[in-house]
Amino acid sequence: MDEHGASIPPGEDGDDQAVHEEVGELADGRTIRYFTWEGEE
Amino acid sequence: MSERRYDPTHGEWVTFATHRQDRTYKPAAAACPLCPTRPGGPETEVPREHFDVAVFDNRFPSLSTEPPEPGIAGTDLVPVEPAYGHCEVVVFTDDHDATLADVGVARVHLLVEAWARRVADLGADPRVRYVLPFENKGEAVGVTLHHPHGQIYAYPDVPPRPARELAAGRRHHDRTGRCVFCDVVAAESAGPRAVVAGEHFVAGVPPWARFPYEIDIWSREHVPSLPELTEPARADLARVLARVLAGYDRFFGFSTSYLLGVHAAPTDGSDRDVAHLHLEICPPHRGGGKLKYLAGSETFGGAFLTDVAPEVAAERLRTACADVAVPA
Repeated sequence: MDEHGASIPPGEDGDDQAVHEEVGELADGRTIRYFTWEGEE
Repeated sequence: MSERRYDPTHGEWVTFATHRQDRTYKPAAAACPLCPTRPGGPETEVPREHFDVAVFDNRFPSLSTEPPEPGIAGTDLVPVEPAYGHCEVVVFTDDHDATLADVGVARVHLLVEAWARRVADLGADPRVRYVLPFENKGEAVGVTLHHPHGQIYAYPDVPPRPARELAAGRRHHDRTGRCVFCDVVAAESAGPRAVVAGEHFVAGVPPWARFPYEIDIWSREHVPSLPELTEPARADLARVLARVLAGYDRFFGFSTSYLLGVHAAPTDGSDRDVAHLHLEICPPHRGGGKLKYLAGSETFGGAFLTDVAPEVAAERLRTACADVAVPA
């Protein structure tokens, strides 16, 4: 850390993963979306 | 009753949504509507046993795509209109007891992705002009559901604070030819108020902090909105945000209450040269368990009074964030 702030190196958390989005409908007709990382369902 | 009335004395719209008086209020954990629906358990808002991030239309929306006709007729002095817009709930995890500070960087990154997609989708509605993702966390800021969640509002106009921000940015641009936030990043990312330095984002206590421990997270590049972030920038935003939130908890010594909002460009394509993506995080605490209240000067004057110097707050928060454990 220096006076420029706690430095964060580039990481790999999810960098190369794709997001999976699934759209559904609740009982009263409202829309619900589920987001997850590809391969983590 | 759900409608918007124009305040001609301040040039602002006010939304009335009286049905929200009936919304779920501080239910017991066993009756949490944002928990997953478990076998043998009560049916909740999320009809799944497990989920990561779930986004759905608010059951008690302030704005809706099919708003009722206003209860009163508008006038030339005080126009009244249906409360059109979108209100969505964003549930960060199926773990009732978690917080955004401890779900891990990968989950915060997934949230950033969900925000970006919802902003793009809601902003494509031609009747929407501004999309605001936000989180109200903790009883100190009036949260009625403890399950970790945020919200997204899509407004038919640009709300007052972003509008003032864009107007100030326009004046700065007219005077200098530059984006004011690009100038702020250049000045603050190497200064004594910086708190966390990422590759694409920098977090710092702004010199004008309205709350004693406010932290803003600015994009280093001139990016107008979340959907325009590159994938590495989204990942970096998640890392910076996760560290800031973990640092807050470490500094205060408890799960920090805060208001978090994402400011970006209007979704109608205007002001892209002066709109610069950033997050504002405002904890109401001023140290020692004491709260900062929005009192007379703030409420009636719109003039914030802060009793911690931003440089002092930044040094304390920088220390707290430096080596705090942040789950992957």
